[in-house]
Amino acid sequence: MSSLSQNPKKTLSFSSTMKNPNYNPLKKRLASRFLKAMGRLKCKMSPFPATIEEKRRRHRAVRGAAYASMASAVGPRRAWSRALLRKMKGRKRARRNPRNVDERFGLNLNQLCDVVPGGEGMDSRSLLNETAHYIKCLVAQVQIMREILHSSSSSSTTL
Amino acid sequence: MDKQHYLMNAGIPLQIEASMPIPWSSDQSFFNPNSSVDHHFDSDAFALRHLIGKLDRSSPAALPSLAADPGFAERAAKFSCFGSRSFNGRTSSPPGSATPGQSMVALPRVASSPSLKLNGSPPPRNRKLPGSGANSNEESSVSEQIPSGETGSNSRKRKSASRGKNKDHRSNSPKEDENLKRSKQTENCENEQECNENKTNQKPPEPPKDYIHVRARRGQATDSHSLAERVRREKISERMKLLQDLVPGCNKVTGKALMLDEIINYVQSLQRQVEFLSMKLASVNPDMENLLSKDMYQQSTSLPQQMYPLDSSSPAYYHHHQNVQQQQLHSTNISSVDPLPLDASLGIQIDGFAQNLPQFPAFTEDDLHSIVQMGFIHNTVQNQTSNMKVEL
Repeated sequence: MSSLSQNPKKTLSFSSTMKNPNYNPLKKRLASRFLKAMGRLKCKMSPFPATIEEKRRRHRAVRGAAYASMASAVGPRRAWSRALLRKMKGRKRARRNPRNVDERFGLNLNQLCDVVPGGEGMDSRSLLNETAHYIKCLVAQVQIMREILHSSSSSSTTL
Repeated sequence: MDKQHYLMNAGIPLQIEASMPIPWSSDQSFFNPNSSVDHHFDSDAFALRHLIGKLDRSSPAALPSLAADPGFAERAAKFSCFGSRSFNGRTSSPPGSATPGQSMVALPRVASSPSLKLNGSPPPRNRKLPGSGANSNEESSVSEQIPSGETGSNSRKRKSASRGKNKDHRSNSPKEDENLKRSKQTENCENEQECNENKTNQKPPEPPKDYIHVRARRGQATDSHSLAERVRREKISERMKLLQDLVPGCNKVTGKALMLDEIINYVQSLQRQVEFLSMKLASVNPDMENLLSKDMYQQSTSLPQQMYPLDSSSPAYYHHHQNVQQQQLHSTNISSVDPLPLDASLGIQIDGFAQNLPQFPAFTEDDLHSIVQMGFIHNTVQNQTSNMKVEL
C-alpha cells in the first residue's frame, strides 16, 4: 500500500488540481504516511519515557510527524503544504511577500493567514482555497489519529 | 477583426494579421444608436461575415464553430450597439463617439475588462485565455483597456506587462472553469466592442487583448470598476460557501466576518486536537504491537459517529484529556501501576521488549493499515463529496 500511495503522485506531474492525485484518496495517503512515520518514531523512542522532558520530546516528535506526513501526503501542490515542508526542512528562505492579504474586504483574513501555514503572501481567494484544503486534511489527520488511538487502547484493554 | 476576438475568447489560438485593420472612422457606424438599432444590423452582419470569411482563409483550423453559428453575426452586431455606451462612457478617446451613449439608458451595460494578451503563444496558453480572462478583473484599470489610437502601442505594452503578471498569478483551473462559464455567457457582447477597440491597436502587429465581459444587473452600479469588484466578490463568496460546507455549524452564521471567525476557530480547534492526539499517541505508543484486526473492526464501527459533529467531539476531547492526565500521573508516580496493562506486563520484561522493538514497524504498519482501512469504510463515503469539492 505504501508503494501505491507514493507512485501516483510522482507519475502525475502534469495533473491539474483535479482528481489525478486521488488514485489513492487523500485519507489513505495520509494514513499510510503517518503510520510509517509513527513506525519510525517507535523504533527510536524508548518504551517508557521516565522524565517529563522525554515525554515532551516524544509528543513533539509525534506532532511533527503528523504535520510532516500531512504535508508530504499532499505534496507541493498546495501552498500550505509547501510552507509546512519548508518548515520541516528548516529552510526559512520562503519568499515573503509583504503584500497585505485583504485588499478589499477588511475581514479577518490576517488572522486566517496566521493560522494557516503559508498564508502571508496570498490574496483572499487563494487563501480561502488553501484554508478549505487545509481544513479537509486536518480533519482527516485527526480522524486517523483518533482511530489509531482507539484501536490501540481497545486492543490493550482486551489483553 | 471581430471574429478574431470572438475566437480568442473561445480559446482558439489566432494571430491577428496586421493587414486587416479597419480604420477608426468606419467604426462610427457601430456607435450610432441614434438610428434604429435594426438599421445597422445588416451592415454589421455583412461586415462580420466578411471578416469571418477572411479569417477562415487565414486560419482554417480555428473557425469551425464560428462559421457554424448563423446568428452570430447578427448577435454580434446587436451587442455592438448595446456595448457602445459603456465603451464610450469609459473612454474619451474615440472621437465623436462620446455622445451616442446617453440614449441607450435602458439597455444593460456591458463592461469589459482586459483578460489576456495573445502573443501567438503556444496552444496550452491560448486555451487558458478565457479562463484567465476574468482574473484580470482584479485590475481596476479599465481605462487601460481602451487606448486611443495614438497611444495604442504604449498602452498595449502596459497591458501586456500587467496581464503577464496576472497570468502568472492566476493559473488555477477552478478559476478557469468559472471564467469559461462566464465568458461563454457574455461572449456575444465581447466581440464587437473589442474589435472596435482593438482596430486602433492593430497597427503594430501585436495580438489584441481579450475581454471577459460581465453583465451588469439592473439597479446596480454599472461602473467597470464596480463590476470587476462584484465579480471578485462573487468568487470569494463562492469560496466562502465551500468553506461553510466544510466547517460544521456554519449554516446559521451569515456574514463574512462571522463566518471567518468560525473558520478560524475551527482550524484552531483542529490544530489543538492534533496536538492533543499526538500527545496521547506519544504516551500510548509502545502498545501497538498486538492489534487484532477483529478488534479493529469492532472499533471502527463505533468510531465514525464520534468524528463528525464538532460539538460532540469537544466533550470527547475533554474526556480524553482527563484520561491522559490521569494516565500521565499514574505513569510518573508509579510506573508499575499503569492503567494500561500491556505496559505493565512489558515493563517487567525489558529484554523481551527490546527484542520486540525491531518487529514494531512490521506489525504496526500492517495492523494499523488494516485498522485505518476499516475506519475508512464508513468515513470515505461521506468524505467523498467534500473531497471532490475542495480538491478542485
